[in-house]
Amino acid sequence: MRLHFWPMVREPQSGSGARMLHDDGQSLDAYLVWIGEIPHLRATGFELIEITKEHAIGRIPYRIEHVGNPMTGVVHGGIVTTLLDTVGGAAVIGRLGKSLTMVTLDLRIDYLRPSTPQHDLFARVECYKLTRNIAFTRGMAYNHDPEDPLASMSATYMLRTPTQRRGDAGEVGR
Amino acid sequence: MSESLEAIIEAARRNRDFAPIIEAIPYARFLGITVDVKGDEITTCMRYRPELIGNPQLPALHGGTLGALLEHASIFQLLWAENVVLLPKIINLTVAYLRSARPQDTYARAFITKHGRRVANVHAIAWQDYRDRPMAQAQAHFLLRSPAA
Repeated sequence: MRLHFWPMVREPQSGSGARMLHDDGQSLDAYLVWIGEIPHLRATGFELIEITKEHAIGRIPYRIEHVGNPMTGVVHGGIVTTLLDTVGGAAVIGRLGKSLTMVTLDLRIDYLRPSTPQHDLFARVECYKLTRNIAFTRGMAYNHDPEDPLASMSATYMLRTPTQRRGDAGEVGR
Repeated sequence: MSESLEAIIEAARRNRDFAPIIEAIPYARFLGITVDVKGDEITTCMRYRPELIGNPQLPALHGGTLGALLEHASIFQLLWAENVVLLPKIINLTVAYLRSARPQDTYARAFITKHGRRVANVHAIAWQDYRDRPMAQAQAHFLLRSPAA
């Protein structure tokens, strides 16, 4: 049994028209290709809209399969988590100006209000401190107005992590 | 015919079968979530699919999917508790990523630290092969809503 109580949704906007701004655009090409090929981001329709030294902006379109409350059509917190985690990583790359391997250490999200049904999710994250090993980020998720956020986040990332697993133990060196 | 979510949750608790709730939540279906109830222990599973990969090089599951799994496990644990018949609303969530998650099934279990009248505090862990080697853990607050509210 599937519940569809909210009004039918419009088709998601097409993924074109991305605006890539960066002082050193060339060096981010590899990253942009890499992020464009990540299976989970393709599956959610994620699009990186902007990546600069100051911040990154990304979008996940409103889709029925992202809905967490079938009575209201509000998207699940998990899709907000995916968006903020991803855009946070992009903000670090933007600040670095080059592609680097990293993993999320921790991520905190405060849900300020429900996401508006049928509206896309956007996130804007800045990397406000970069050390040799750790990057600190903070940002917001919103529907159309960055001044009316639906979630705030802060996350830390560990830089220069191995690109391959060590042996078969399933352990990744940290 | 559409039943109310409230009725689905009531029936799920009575029948000890969460499948109808998952069927009603599109995002839970999208992630491939299943729930196993053994006694009072509820284990939430995220079945591996290539669409969950967030790092093709390692490869590893996307961190967002782990956060989502932990949130689902917390919600199901709260729905199992008495007096919770409406979907709890998440207030905040802190996820610590401890190990990268390999491309395989991932499990999660949540523990209610404090179940107040309006707010619950939940701790959740996600693991793959061994429960004592978690991939991620979360601490979260949920707003509980009674039908009358």
